[in-house]
Amino acid sequence: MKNKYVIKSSLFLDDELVFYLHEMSKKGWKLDFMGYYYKFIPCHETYKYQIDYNEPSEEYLEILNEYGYEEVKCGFDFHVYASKNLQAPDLNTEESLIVASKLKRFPISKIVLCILAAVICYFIAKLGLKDIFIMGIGAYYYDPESFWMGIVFGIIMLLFGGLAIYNICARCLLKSGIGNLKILKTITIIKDILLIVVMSFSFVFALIDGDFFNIEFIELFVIIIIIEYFVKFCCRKLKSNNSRKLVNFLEITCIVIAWILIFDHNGADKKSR
Amino acid sequence: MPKREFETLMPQMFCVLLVLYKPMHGYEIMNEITRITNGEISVGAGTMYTLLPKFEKELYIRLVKEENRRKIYQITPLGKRKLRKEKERMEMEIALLKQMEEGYEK
Repeated sequence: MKNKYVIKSSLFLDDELVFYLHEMSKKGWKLDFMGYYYKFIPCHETYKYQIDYNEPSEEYLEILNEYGYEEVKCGFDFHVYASKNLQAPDLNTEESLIVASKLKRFPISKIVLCILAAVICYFIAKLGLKDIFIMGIGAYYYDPESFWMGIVFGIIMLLFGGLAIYNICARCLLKSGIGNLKILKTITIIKDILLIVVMSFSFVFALIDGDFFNIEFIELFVIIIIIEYFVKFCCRKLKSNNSRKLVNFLEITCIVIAWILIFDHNGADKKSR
Repeated sequence: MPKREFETLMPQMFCVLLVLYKPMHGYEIMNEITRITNGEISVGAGTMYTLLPKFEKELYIRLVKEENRRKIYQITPLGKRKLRKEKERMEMEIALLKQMEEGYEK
């Protein structure tokens, strides 16, 4: 049997992940690497998996060895342990501490930095692509480096923007304590993907449009961040999950409408000129 | 979640502080807790090693010595005060419960 590669996103729902890994090991697949993709190797033994947020000290590792846990390579800032002993005790037994250590992975400083980086990248991208829009395609032959620099920074900006949104979502989901609600999780993922798609489209449109000096892209970005914060604030206040779902749906609509309005407004502007 | 960490101690946290009247290291603490509670409460290793540095930072426990790379901790007067405070809180809750039950029986 060959190795198996899986792409899966379930970063902040540990229980689900641990269950999934256990099921996989029952089917004869042992986790070999976990990162943005999972690598499984064929193995006949069943394993018990644990996810842990502690920085392992030597003393800690000794205890883990005693339980039979061995570390699985992991590309994230947490640790994954596998044990052949299915009766091995769980590592984390106190729910409030687990949430606290998970929250530590999505600090506000990281979100702010991501947004700042995205804004800076936006201006660099604008600088690089300026000539193309002023002088037309000829500028590319004149100075191809700045064109590619603009494109690269544009992509980096999108990545930072996506990262910021992802961090905000994860943080707020943890704070509102949703547990194992699959639908809410799915909606959030759809929303994230939609946000990234909308942002990429906006960027591409801004490029095609030629009106790159207009600030609608950054406007949209700011609006999305504000809406995101507002929605998360609501989610925390709301008790019932149905209303949370509703708010999330509303957010999707809001963003789409904001997007259409801004670009429509821009188009109307041009016609009037 | 409580507003401040350790505002009220969860059972597991309470037990960790409790058994540290005698200086001991992490693994011993886990075994001791299982022993004194007859397996009713057990603290996972991950939870244990998240708690110890946090308690140390709050000055509830202090590092006594390091033996074969194992850190041995003991409770401080501040930690004992925290336990007493916790006791008062629980007593208040028990008193309230009694009051309620008696009220309904009448």
